[in-house]
Amino acid sequence: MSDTDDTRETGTQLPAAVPSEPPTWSAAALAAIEAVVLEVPGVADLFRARPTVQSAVTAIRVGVTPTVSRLVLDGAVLRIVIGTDGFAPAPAVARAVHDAALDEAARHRLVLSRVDVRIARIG
Amino acid sequence: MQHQPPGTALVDLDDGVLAGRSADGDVRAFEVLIRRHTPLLRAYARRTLGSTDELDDVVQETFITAWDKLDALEDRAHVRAWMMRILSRKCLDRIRARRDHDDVTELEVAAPTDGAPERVAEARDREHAAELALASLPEAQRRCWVMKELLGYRYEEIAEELDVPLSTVRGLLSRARKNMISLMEGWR
Amino acid sequence: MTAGPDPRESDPSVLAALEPEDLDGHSIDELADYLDAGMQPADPSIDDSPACQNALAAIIRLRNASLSALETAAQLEAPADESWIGGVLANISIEARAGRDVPLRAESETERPVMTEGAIRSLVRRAGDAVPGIVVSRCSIEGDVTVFAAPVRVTVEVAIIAGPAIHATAELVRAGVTTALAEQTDLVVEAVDVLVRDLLVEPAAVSEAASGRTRTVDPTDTTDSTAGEADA
Repeated sequence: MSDTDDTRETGTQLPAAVPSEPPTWSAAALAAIEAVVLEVPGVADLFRARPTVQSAVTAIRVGVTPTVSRLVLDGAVLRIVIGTDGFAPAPAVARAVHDAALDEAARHRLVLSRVDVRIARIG
Repeated sequence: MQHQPPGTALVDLDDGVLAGRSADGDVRAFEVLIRRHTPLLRAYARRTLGSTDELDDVVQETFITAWDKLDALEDRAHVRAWMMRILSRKCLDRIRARRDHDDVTELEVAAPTDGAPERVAEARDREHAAELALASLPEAQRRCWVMKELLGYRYEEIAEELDVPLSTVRGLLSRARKNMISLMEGWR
Repeated sequence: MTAGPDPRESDPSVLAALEPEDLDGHSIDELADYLDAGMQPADPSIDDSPACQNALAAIIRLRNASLSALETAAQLEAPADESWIGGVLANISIEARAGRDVPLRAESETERPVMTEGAIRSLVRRAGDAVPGIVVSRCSIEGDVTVFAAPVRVTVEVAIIAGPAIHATAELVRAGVTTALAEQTDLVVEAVDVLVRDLLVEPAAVSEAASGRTRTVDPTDTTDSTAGEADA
């Protein structure tokens, strides 16, 4: 991402733990992750993840318009809320969604510290 | 072998069971409650508000509120009466709103008590007699009687809802009960 | 509890007067409150007073008539309209029933998976419903569910078809729910308690009872009683 490249060029220290600024994201990256999540076996539904107050404030500060994505990026944490089909064991589906989301995010050079998967419905 | 009956359809379940499932998030079960009790709630709203465009809204709002509060309902078997109390509260809110809008001071409206005993006595059946008797009460008495005797409110709840002292509620109820029983005993 | 006065018996002339001096010292309001308390604790000065018994009967008749009038009026109301029902459903949220977030096992630092209590309850409901003769009413999870691997106790309230198979059927529910929880959650379940709180009455049985006929079990009904599907 250009943001990360800029910081390297100017020699600014990369934050060691939690980034002090949200990483740059794009609607395309989130849309790609959404598509990948929906393809994970056992995923029946993808629900709108509620943004935390902080992410909503950040979005306003950065001048971001409300996203059409059902995923929420909260700093470096991606929040996903799904419903499973009730057959594949839910914990395994959650893990598969996490893995798929992390991989797809990396492909879009989006660095995530965590992918929080919440199962809101089983079957 | 034991007789194994087929699975029971939601529509055949008791109110208490449906309320329990609804409280746990079963929307289909709640839908059965909606279909089952809408006519009664509409009838109550019509008697309280008059025939008005507001009936659809006030009953709809009642179910929406009921869904939110179902978790707190302990006596699930009596969910119908509980929903009627929610509806009654919303009807009163609308009546108060009408009054504020029309800037009318809240007075005890005189009911057509003249000839009430005769009308009640001539009623075609006991139900009709009860309706006529109730309609002949002064508004404040009628409201208290309905809330206590029909909807099962406690005295304190009526006082709070109507924003009057407890002693006022007791006095109104006492008169209402005597009036209703006297009128009904004239019916045969 | 003592049986209430028979509403069909009354002497109208006694009720023309409703003051305490006419009701053996009791006000009509005391009698109404006594009725609301289920006539407990028993008060002989009311129970043994013909005037009070007549007044109680009148109160009951009146309440019934009024409710009955409302129910009759309800029959004249149109049934709930589909789009109107849609309006209700659009405004109720499952989110309100989500409950606590129950952690699942995380195998790496980038994972923080959870499952809502609401999802678990619907899982339990489905597992219980799969047992023939059973309908789940309410289910609850006691324990510190927000702490991973904290032992919890699951209570499932059910309505059941009355009959000699109650215990066996409840056991099928317990087994089915236990299996479903083991397969679909990471909960450490100490116990699954099945509470039979309601009896299911089949509609056919109700109408036959009302018509005075008793229901005899046709021998062909008892064949093919498949055991409930224990798996969710």
